[in-house]
Amino acid sequence: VTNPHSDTAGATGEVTSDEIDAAAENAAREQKLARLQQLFRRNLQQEQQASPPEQQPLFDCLVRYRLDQS
Amino acid sequence: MMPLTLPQIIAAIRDLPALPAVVLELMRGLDNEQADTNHLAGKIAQDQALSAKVLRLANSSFYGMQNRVGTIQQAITILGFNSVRALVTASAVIDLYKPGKQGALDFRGFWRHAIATALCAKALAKKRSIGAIRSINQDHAFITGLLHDIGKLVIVTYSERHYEAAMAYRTEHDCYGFEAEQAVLGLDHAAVGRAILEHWKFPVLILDAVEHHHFWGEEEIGGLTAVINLADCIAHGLDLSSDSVDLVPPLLASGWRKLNIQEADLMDVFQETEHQFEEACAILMAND
Repeated sequence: VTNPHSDTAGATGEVTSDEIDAAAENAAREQKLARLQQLFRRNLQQEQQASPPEQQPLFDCLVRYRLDQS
Repeated sequence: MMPLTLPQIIAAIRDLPALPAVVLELMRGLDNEQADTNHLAGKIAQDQALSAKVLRLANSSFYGMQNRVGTIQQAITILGFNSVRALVTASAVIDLYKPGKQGALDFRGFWRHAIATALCAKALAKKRSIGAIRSINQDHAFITGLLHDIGKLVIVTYSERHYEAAMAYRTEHDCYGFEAEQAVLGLDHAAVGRAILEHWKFPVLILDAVEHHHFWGEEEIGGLTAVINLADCIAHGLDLSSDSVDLVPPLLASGWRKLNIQEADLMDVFQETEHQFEEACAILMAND
C-alpha cells in the first residue's frame, strides 16, 4: 500500500489506500445486497411469476436502508 | 408419518407448562381498562424474578425514561397499566419456554425473531398518521408480535419428531415454514398458536391476528393482522434471528394496501427496531 498523498501513487499503477477502502466498501455493499436477495429469494421469484407487486417495495426499501448504513 | 390434528394438539395443551396465575389474571382483564391496578401490581410484585425483569425493561431504551422506575406501581403510573401488562406477559411466556433449550427448534433464534417482530409491530403501531393503524393499541401489537409464532413451540413441545420432519421438508423444498408444516403435519403453527392463546384466554383480536398472519388470500384482513404480517416480514428482512436458511414470508397483499405505509415511515420503523433489539433480547432472554 502506498501513501495516497504521494505524487507517484496511482501514476505508477500501485494501489492506493483510498482504492482499497473503496473496494472494501463495495464488497460490503455487495455482501449486504446478496444477503437480502437470499432472504427474499422466494418472494422475488413469485414477483416475476405472478401479479402481487407488494414484495418489491419492501425489498427495495430494505436495500436502501442497509446500503445507507455503509 | 401420521399428520397431527387440532383436537390432538388442544388436548395436549392442557399438559403443557402453565402460565403463572398472575399472567392469566392479567390477560383476562386485557380488554378491561378499569382493572384494579393496585391489586394486580401487588400480585406482580410478589413474583420477584418477573417484576425485576419488568423493571429492567421499563428502565431500558425501550421506553427512554428520564427518571428511574423503582417499583411496579411506579411503572404502572408512568408507563400505563397496558404497557406493564404487556411486559409481564412477555417475560412470563419467554420464561415458560426458556431460550436455553435446544433440540429440533433453536429456542434462542425463535425468541430473537419473536422479540424483533414485537418491537417492530409496536414501532408500526406508533405511526398514528396511518388510518388503519390509528385504532391499534401499541401494547397489543407488541404482545401479538411476540407470540405470533408461539404455535411452533407448542408443536415442538408436543412432538419433536413431527417438527423435525417439517423442518427437513422445508430445507429440502426451500419453502416457507408454514407450507412445510401444512404438507407434513396437516396444520400449521398459526392455527396451533390460536389454540394455545385461546386456552390462555387472550382476546379475540390477538387470536385472529396470530391465526391469519400467513393468510394468503385477497380477502380483507384486520389492521392488527396487517401490522403483524408486515412486522414479521421486516423482522426476517432485517436478518435479526441469525438463521442461515431464513426466508422473508409472503407479505399479505390486502394488508400492505390497507396500511399504505410510506418509505420514510418504514425507515423509522427499521431504525427503531434495530436500536432497541439487542437490549430487549438481553433483558427478556436473561436467565435469572
